[in-house]
Amino acid sequence: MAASRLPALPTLTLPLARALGGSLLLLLISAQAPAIEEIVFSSGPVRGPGWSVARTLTRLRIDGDARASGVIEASGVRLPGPLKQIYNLSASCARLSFDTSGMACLGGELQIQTPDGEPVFSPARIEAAYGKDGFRFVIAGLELGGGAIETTFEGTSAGFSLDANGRSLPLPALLELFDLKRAGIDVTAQNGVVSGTLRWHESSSHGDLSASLNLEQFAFSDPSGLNAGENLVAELSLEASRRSGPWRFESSVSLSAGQVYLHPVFVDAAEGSLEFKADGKTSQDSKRVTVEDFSFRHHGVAQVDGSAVLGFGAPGPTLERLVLETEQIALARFHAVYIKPWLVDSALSKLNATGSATARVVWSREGTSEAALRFRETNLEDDAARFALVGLSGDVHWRESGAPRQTHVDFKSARFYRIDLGSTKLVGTFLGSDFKLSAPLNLSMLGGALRIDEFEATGLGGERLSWGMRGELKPISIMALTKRLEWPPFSGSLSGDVPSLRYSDGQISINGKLNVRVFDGRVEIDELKLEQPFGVVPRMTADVLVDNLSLGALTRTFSFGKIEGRLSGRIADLVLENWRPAAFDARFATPEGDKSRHRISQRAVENLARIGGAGQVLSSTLLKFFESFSYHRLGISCRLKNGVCEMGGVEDAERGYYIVKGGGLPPRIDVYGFNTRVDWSTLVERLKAITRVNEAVIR
Amino acid sequence: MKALAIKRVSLWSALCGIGLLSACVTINVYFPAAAAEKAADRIIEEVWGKEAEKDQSSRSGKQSLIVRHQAHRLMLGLLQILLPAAHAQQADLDISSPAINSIKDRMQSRHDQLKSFYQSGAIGLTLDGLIAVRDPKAVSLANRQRVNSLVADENRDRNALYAEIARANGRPEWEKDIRDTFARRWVQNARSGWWYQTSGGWKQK
Repeated sequence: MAASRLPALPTLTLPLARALGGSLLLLLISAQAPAIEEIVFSSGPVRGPGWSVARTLTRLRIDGDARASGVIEASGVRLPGPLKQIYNLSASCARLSFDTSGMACLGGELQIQTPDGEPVFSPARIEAAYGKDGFRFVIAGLELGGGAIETTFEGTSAGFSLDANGRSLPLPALLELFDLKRAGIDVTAQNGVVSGTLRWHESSSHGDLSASLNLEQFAFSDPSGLNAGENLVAELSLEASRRSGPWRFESSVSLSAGQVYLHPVFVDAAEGSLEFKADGKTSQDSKRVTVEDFSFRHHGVAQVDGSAVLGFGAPGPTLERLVLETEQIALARFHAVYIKPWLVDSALSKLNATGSATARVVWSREGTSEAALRFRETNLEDDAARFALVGLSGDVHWRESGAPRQTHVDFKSARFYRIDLGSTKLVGTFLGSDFKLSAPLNLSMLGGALRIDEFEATGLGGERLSWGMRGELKPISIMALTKRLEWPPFSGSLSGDVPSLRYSDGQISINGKLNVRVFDGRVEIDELKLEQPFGVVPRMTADVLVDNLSLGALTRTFSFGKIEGRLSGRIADLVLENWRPAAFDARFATPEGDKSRHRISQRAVENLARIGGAGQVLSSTLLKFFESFSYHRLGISCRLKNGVCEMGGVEDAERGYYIVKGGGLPPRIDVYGFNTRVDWSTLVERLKAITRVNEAVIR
Repeated sequence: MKALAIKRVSLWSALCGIGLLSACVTINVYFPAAAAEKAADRIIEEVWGKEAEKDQSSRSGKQSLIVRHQAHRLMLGLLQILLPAAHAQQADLDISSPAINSIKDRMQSRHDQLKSFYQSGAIGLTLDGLIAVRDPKAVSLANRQRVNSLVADENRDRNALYAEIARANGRPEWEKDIRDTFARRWVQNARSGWWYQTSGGWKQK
């Protein structure tokens, strides 16, 4: 029978028709018995595909004027599909008429009750006729809440038709009739009124189905409240037909008012109505639905077109293929509504996007998915000011497998925390969860640049993201770096090979040592690690070795006051939290056996004294007449812990410690430190003040 | 009485305690439970404000914890005698690092937004010292997304807070104990009407 190929509705109604038709037949047979006042038939269980009736009782009365009336009572009626399990039905005919063409029931009444005897609807009027040309069954005035349903069901040898009209039906009561959980939908309707029509004509070669529904004040929720809607005004329509083949359909859903929360996306239709349209066809065996063309319009937010293939085999519906295509989308609202909610648990949770983009995404179950994004003047900025990409333009291509397509993107500027990066061009390939840089990337920063020769990432979009890179640091200004990071100012330039930088398990580490030639000496950064670079507390740790720096070069650029000599030392166990020093053990001193000229200028002495908290020590004494002094050794140490710097010098003195120990040709000078514990923030303030003062002096 | 609780006394440290005393001086088997509670209460008061109802019952509860660890009592006695210096180190937990302060400040300003959701039962305190959306239906549709994102932010900060306290005290391995301490203290300090998770499900205070 044609009906078995059709979706839901036929399986709901046809067995019912068969049941009723069968009962009418029973009446017909009984009516042919001789004149008896009442005939009672009863039957046990009757079963059909998906439905069953526990018991039927048929009474046929014939009064003195040979007028017949009858009642059919069916109890324990199980209906197929998502309809609730058991009802008791009672259909009565005030007058049954019989003639050669068939039988008719006039002035009938239909009652449907729950097994507890609760009426499901108010009693409805029915009319039925059954004959050799077919049957006709009409239900009128079926009332539910404040609404009503009217149904006409007709069958001929050529086929059947169903017309149903409903108006102002209360949705919660209507959905009570259905066992939605059995259909896999665990949603309750708290409110809503529905009106609509359903027309369905079916013959062996043709089928036409047309349905339209209007919902108002619709509110629904699943038990968790994670999928819910309120005050929805929606229109649904479906037109489907078949001409001796599979069904073709056109459907649409529009939402003109109300709010929907489908975790984690929230949409308020008041800010832009939504419309979804889908046209397509079913396959010959009904196991596949091809949506040839769908469009989704969220006014002012998104416009997506595409196609899809859905499979309806066991165990349930599956998505086989999906193609999404967008026109130019203004990213600000699209990102806020549809992307950002998915990122709350990631490092990108505070990302805002502006500008525009287009996208084409092909998803396929066979593992041949791909995506292409085109950005135009897009800005990606982190609310927490951790990173930003400004003026992003270009094409990003991703493929799940096969030969990758090249991604070309450039941006005008970028920012990583406080470090500004200049414009650059990125060329690389995305394949599966991997990315590989195809051409060296030049990131200008702090007056220099970081050139990345190789970069490879794996596990993109997953928990186990890792990447590695190799490159070179072209001289960058340490003064600019320290200024940006609000560290104690320090001048010079930083350059060198970046041997192998790796990121895995939330930690960036450098394989090997970072060697920097600076101030005619060498700085070696070892054990450099950066933990949780985008986490709550980014933490950088390193051991820094300082070897034979020229104090002359250092103090010249440091504008600290001239010191001649050499300096070596180390910063062990350096920890930066939120890019600020949290702990270290630093010692610097004149290297043992240093043969270079050891002179310290008056201004340098003054500044050293200022660090210690003293005022103008030299200028108020006779020593102010000397430009510079000779010294034997100098040095300073600071062990930072819990915001306090434990200070020391080049060697212990009777009271305190020597920062500068005089020696060589006079005039000599000794500088002592007495404070062994100094508040780190005070120390940093003093260093900053010194450079400010000196800058002013120089200019 | 020093409210100390011994946790995770390993066989190794027990052997140390008997045979290799000099080598064990730096092995700290204590998690300073009392100090951790004090620290947690201070942070909670700063984050939630001063009306926090103090419930002292847990203090007595903690002493019974020591009694429960009868097997280790001998060890405790031994270590108390032999390692007086270790006690001195357990006075307080450092909760003043810049990282902890910045996390705390963020949590404090976020609490103004979370308060009404605690009160309505939309969110509750979990067993692992975090918060969770307990009943989304207690929140208007328009606010459900906001609650999700607030909860995610709060949990990111709470996880970082526990790790930072452990780290600031040079004991990253204490993170779990600190988290457990906080989990209890958040509940103890919760206002009446707020919800918290137990092994048997959600309960209202």
